[in-house]
Amino acid sequence: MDLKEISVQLQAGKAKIVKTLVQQAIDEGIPAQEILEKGLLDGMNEVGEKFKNNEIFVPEVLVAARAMNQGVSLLKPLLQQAGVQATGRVCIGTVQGDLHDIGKNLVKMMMEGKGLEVIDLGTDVSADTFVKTAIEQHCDIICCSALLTTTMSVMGDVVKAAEAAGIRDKVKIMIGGAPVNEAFRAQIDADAYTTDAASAADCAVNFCKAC
Amino acid sequence: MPTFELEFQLAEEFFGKPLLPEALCPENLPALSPAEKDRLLHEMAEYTVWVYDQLDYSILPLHSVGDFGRLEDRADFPEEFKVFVKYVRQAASDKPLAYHGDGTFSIPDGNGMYDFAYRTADDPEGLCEEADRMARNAIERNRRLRDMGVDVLLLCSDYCYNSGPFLSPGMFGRFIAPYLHRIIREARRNGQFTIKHTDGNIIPILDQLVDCEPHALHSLDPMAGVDIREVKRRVGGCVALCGNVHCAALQTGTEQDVIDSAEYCLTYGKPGGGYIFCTSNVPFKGMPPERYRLILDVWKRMRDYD
Repeated sequence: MDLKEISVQLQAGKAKIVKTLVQQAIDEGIPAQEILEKGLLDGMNEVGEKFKNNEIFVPEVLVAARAMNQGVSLLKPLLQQAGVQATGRVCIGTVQGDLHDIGKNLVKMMMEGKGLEVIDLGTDVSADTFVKTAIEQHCDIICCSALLTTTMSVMGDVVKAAEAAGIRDKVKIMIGGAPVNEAFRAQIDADAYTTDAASAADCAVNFCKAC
Repeated sequence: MPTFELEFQLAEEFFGKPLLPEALCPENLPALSPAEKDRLLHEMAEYTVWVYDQLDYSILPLHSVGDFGRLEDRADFPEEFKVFVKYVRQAASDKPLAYHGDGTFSIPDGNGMYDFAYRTADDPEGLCEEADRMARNAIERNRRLRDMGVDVLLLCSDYCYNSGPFLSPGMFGRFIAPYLHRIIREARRNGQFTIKHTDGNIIPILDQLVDCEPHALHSLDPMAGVDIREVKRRVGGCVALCGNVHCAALQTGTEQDVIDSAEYCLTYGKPGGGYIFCTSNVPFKGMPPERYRLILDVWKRMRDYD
């Protein structure tokens, strides 16, 4: 079968069809990694690009991600059997004092769409929790989100906590959210600031490739 | 040129006590006798009017008081709120009073966002029915607000991120615009003014927002790249504008950043009228009070029309 069809149906958010097509591809003996990369991730890459260019919007992305998850659920055991590793591992959360999770959830979804394993720490996450998780789960990247100008300073605490724990050279720290900008990233010495979820996912993949 | 804010959260920092006294917080209400409650509501109303007089606000945004969570009729208001509004009305007979009156979908948070997104694909008709119910409820509520003496409705459902709208313009046209338009049309019939607020980059849905015929658009969020000069050029002839003073600069910028932002808004918002000077959000808790004073000083310096 043509795996492009999986990609096309995923972009249209057709979860049931994607699941059927993925099962069909498995039954035809196509390797799980190939189905993942040429079907599901290809589709999510397209979705990410269109989202970045304002051609599609959040609901369409979420519906496409649901379709992807349907396909991934079939592939997961096969990928594990074949010893396929995720592109990289990320822990993500909204910083302490901040309960906003919309942006964080979008970034998580786009990163998963790029084949990254994402550990979601939720909202109101302390600097120590970010760092502890990064150590225990061997994360390549810590992602911090904030919506409030009053909580963005916690991102600086995360950088300091990573330094204090001796993992600063092993983990990249990415930041994002409405009040954050490049100047603030430079000020707190984080590794990357991105303006939107799709760019954050691209940036994370590049970091992981460089690891 | 008028000024006001949708909320003023710095009353304690400016004037020594918050607009809502602790004794009138919902959890403390049951302990108050009727006479004591009435006295406190009267004091709160007088203090509210006094605070906004000090700030030279042209519109008085009403603080919520009472336990809204316990109401069975979703179009109703707690008795405490009704009494408070009555006292504010008495104390400020010449000023318009403003309160929240939106009834459209805002950006959902948490897991609600997933449910909402899936419904746009799986159950669009059901979503429209829910939007219709919400609008009808808001219209009834706004009618009651009018009877209480509220002149201005603040329609504060947020639709946009910094990067653009949550919904595509097509979805916005299906799930929000018709209902927003209906709420505004009914408010106009009731003689009420409407200020449509949303954070974020509104440009992709700007024309749709204006087509809903609000009297004013609020926030014009500079953190999302919205430029009052451009918005004024595009739609300033058919809707009043409010906001655009850079809230992040107020919080973390230099004094010069703050002054520059306020001067820019006044310079490009003022020509031909139709601009209400205010921040792109609200003077929120944690904002340095001196920064808010700074923009009020700029406003006083530049507010007069020739």
